[in-house]
Amino acid sequence: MTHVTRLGFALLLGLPGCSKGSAYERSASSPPSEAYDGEATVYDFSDEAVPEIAMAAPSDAAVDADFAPEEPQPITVAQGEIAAPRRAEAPKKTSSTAPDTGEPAVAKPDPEQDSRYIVYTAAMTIAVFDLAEALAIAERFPDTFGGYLSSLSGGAVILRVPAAKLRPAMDALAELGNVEQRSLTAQEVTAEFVDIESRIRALTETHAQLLTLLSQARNVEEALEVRAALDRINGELEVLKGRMRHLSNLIAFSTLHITFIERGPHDIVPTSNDPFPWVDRLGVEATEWR
Amino acid sequence: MAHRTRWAIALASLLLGASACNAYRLEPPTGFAEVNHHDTGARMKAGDNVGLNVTVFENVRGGTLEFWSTDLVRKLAARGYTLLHHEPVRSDNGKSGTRFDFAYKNREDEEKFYSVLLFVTDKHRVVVEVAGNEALATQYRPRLASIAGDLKVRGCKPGGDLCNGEQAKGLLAAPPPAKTEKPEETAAGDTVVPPSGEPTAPVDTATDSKGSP
Repeated sequence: MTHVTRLGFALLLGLPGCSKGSAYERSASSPPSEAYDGEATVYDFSDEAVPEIAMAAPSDAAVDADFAPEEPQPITVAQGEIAAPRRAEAPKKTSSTAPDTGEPAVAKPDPEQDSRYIVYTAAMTIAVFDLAEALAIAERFPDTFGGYLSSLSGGAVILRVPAAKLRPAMDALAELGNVEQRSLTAQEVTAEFVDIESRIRALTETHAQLLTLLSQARNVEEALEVRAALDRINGELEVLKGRMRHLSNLIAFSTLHITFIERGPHDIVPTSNDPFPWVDRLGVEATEWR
Repeated sequence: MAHRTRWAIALASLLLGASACNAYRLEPPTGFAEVNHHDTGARMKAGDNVGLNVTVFENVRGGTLEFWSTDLVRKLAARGYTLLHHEPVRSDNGKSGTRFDFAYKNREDEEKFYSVLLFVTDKHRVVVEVAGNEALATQYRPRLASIAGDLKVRGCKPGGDLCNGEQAKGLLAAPPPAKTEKPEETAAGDTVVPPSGEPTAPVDTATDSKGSP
């Protein structure tokens, strides 16, 4: 009798909590959890969500190497005379290098597509058997992927690669040898970019109003006063436009730091994903005497 | 007397046991002097700086002569070694292996010859390498068959068939994606794979066991 009672209690207590089926059904039918909401917010590119993330924490964020940078829509930032004030040119598509100046085109992503501006910086350390050849190939990378060689010193190379070509370039570099270290950092600069943009817009409008005032000046004294204000505005605009060009360049061209390490047959470098690196110990250099 | 005999037998079995631990046995070939010798191999040197290395690696389950031959050729090809020729060889104690002849240019653009004898037993992989200036190839390459013939390879399980495993067929090497060089044919009819090349055409396997390259 006691045994039967115990069994009955156990059944009564166990039924609601132990049924995996009911728990699963509950979670499947219930609204998404908070964690899910959080993820959805990260990928939400709506105007409300993005500035909140970007401006609240505009810090560096290491991202997975598999992350593919979005293709920026290059624009040219107005570099014209400030004496004839105008707004910064609207984003327009150009090639990766500005044909007029020979300089890399200043570009930024299309705000319609993605309102976040991100500066990518990648680094790779690659062990190669032939350092000279690897350096020569790396030097020729801009021919294939665009961009330009920023510096070359010893086994260290810095390439500026169009953001959209960063991942293919890194994959191609990985073919040159054993990748010992690989990193990719994304720095969100949306807040700074938007701030500079709006300051330029505001100053440009002020500039235009001052020009109107200048044309309406009734005497030299008034004209000189307006002229002084115009000069001040011009100076500020130049600084801001310079910063905008620099920032746009950083967004459009990712910086890729490559360090080549020479390896020989004696070096026991674990071959990527290869559990049998025995051949690394063999070869002419390991056998012949000099 | 009986006591002395027992001692002699014990000593002999001890010596036999110790030598049985070695994966190989190779006396320095004529013209070579042994520079050093350790458990996992030996290094020898000829007067003209031609080197002879013996290296022993542990084998793993499934590691056949065919598997390691393919692995060797592919990895060396990725480092710029051009496979010129390969053929079966036989050790002093009748174990079958493979001989590989490679051409190689070092960083100073000096042409080198490089030959490898590979034997695979249940326990070990025994690799004999001979390397030197290309000009000395004609002098040393013909001696490789006799070097293989002087080598004793151990580590075979009784009744196992790994030590007389099949030769690798259709050895391939991978060229870099950008370069698509057409494979050339040697006088012997073997397909020469360009250094660091993508598999283009299989390298024929010679069938004679002790032929010269």
